[in-house]
Parts: sequence; structure tokens; C-alpha cells
Amino acid sequence: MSDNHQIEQWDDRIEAYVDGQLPQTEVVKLEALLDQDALLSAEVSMANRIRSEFRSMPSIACPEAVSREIHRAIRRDIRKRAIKRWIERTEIMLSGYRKFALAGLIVIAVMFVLRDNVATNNGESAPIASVEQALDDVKWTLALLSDAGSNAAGTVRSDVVEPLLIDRLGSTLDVLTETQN
Amino acid sequence: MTYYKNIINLVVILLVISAKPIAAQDITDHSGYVDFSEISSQLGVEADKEINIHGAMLRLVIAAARKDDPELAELLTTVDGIFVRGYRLSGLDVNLVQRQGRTLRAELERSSWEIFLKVNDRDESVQMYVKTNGLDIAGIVLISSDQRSDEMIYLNIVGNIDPEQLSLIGDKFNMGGL
Repeated sequence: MSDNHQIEQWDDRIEAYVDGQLPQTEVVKLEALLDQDALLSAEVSMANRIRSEFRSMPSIACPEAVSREIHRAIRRDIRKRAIKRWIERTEIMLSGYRKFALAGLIVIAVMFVLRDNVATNNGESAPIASVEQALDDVKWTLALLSDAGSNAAGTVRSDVVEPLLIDRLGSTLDVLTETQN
Repeated sequence: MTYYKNIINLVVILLVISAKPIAAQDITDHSGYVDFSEISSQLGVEADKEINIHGAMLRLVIAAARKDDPELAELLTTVDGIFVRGYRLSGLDVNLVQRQGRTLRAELERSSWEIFLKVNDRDESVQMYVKTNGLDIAGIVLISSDQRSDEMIYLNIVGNIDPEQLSLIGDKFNMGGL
């Protein structure tokens, strides 16, 4: 039970020990235990063997497909982190009064774009001149439409309504009145 | 969650701002719109007067009118576009005018425009077409020729317009020549 406990306690540091990365104080402690604990000693020996066998193995190049996948995964990871960072910054930027400031800036920017869209090339207060001209055009068009409607209605009245309806109605009424008298 | 709310707010603001320009770009899809772009080539002359007011320019005109003429501004809010082509009758080939008139009339009738007013006088000819969308007016087209003023006018007003209001407001303005 005690042996097991030692292994459990040192298990995660055996690798560091065989790689020479364990702090000196812990090395001293572990080496003192190795003389007393056969199981721990066997574990360290096995780790040493595995290490040396690994070292003696020929190095093999990583298959192209695997390497490609690893690079892709790394790029994906970098992208995710960048997006996360951007979202965090946007969140900070859109918090509180900054949200309204940003909305205001966007409105101003859009107004500038719209103003540029109606600008002409002659420089001096061009948008205002264009709008005034357009307003005059609108008035002219409405006047034209109204005028055409009135003229047409006048023609209908004088050519159709009066001779064919009112005059005939008047004549009929005259005849009726005379007959009654 | 706050992040999503902020993004939604931002998107709503952008949509509200951009909604009208998008609609303005789609004026040609409006059922009350009539394409006058071919008239000049069909008549073989350039227009003496050409008016194309819609989208951003129309909104600026409404804003400009609101100050001096609120009635006009109110009327224009129901309008989506105003398009005019004006020609001097004396510069036109009668045969081309007749052929173009037939083409345009056929096109209007094919697109379910209804003739609203047709007057053929000795010196003057007026044809007014209306496109309805249920109980609403989607557009008005006026084709008018007047020998006395030497004018041939093609006019298209796109939008849900009240003709009575339009006539009342139109009476206030003076119509000069082309």
C-alpha cells in the first residue's frame, strides 16, 4: 500500500526525472526513495528503457497528409482566437455610451455618402443647387399634370357633357314644361 | 448575450439607414414604373427636358419642400419617382411619333394599365393611364402633345398618389415651357 502510494506520488515526475528536468531537491528525494522502494525503482528503470529505446528508433518524417492537417488545425485555432479577440474588443467597444457614439458616427458617415451621391461636378454648393433644380422640376411636373387634367376635363365638358347631356336635358325639360302649360 | 443585443441594434440601425436607398434602386421593379429610356431612340431625337427624380434625390426634395410647402412635401411622401421626357413637336417626325405611340400604348395595355382619360382635340391630344394595385394607385402615365405650345410630353409618376390632391397642389404652380 505504501509502495503504491509512492508510485502514485511520483508517477507524474518520473518522466521529468529521466529527462533530467526534475529540480535538484526532488532528484535527491527520489533517489533516496529508489533504494527503498523496489516498485518505484522498477518504474524508473522502465522509463529509462523506454527513453533509450525511443532514442535508438530511426526518425521518421511525418506523413504529408498528417502534417497538412496539423497546419490546418493550427491555422483554424489562430483564426478562432483572432475572432474571439475581435468579438471581445467589439463587446467592449459597444458597451455603454460607446454604443450610441458608434451609432452616431455611422449615421454621420451614411449622410456624407448620401450627400456625395447627389453631388454634381460643378463644385459650388452643388447638392443644394441640384435639389433646388429637382424641386422646380417636381413643381413643373405637377403643374403640367394638373394643367393637362384641367384642359382635358374642360374639353370633355364643352365637347361631351354640355352638348350631349346638359343641352339635351334642357331641351327635354323645355318640351315638358310647354306640354304642361 | 449583451454582445448579440448590440450586434442586433447595430444591424437594425444599418437596415433603417439603408432601407430607402435599396428601395430607390428597385424603382424599375415598381408596378407603377414605365421605362422611358427607349423613347428618345424610337423618336430619333434627344429629349429637350428630362426629369428623373427618385430615391435619395426625392428624399432631399421632400426635405427641401417641407420648409416652404408642407402640403407638397406631404404629397411627395406618397410618390416613389417622377420621370419626364419632353420634346419639341416641331422637331419630331410624325410617323415616328405615331409608331412610338402605338408601341407605348400596346406596352401599357399589356402591363394592365387602364386608360383613365383620352382627349383628342384639333391641337391637343392627352392620354392618361393609371395602374392600380387593389384600391391604391401604383402609377400614372400622361402622354400629351400640344401643337400650340409645340410640346410632346411623356410623364410617369410612380407611387400611391391621390389625383385630387395632386391636382389641387399642381394648380398652385406655374408651368413654363420646355
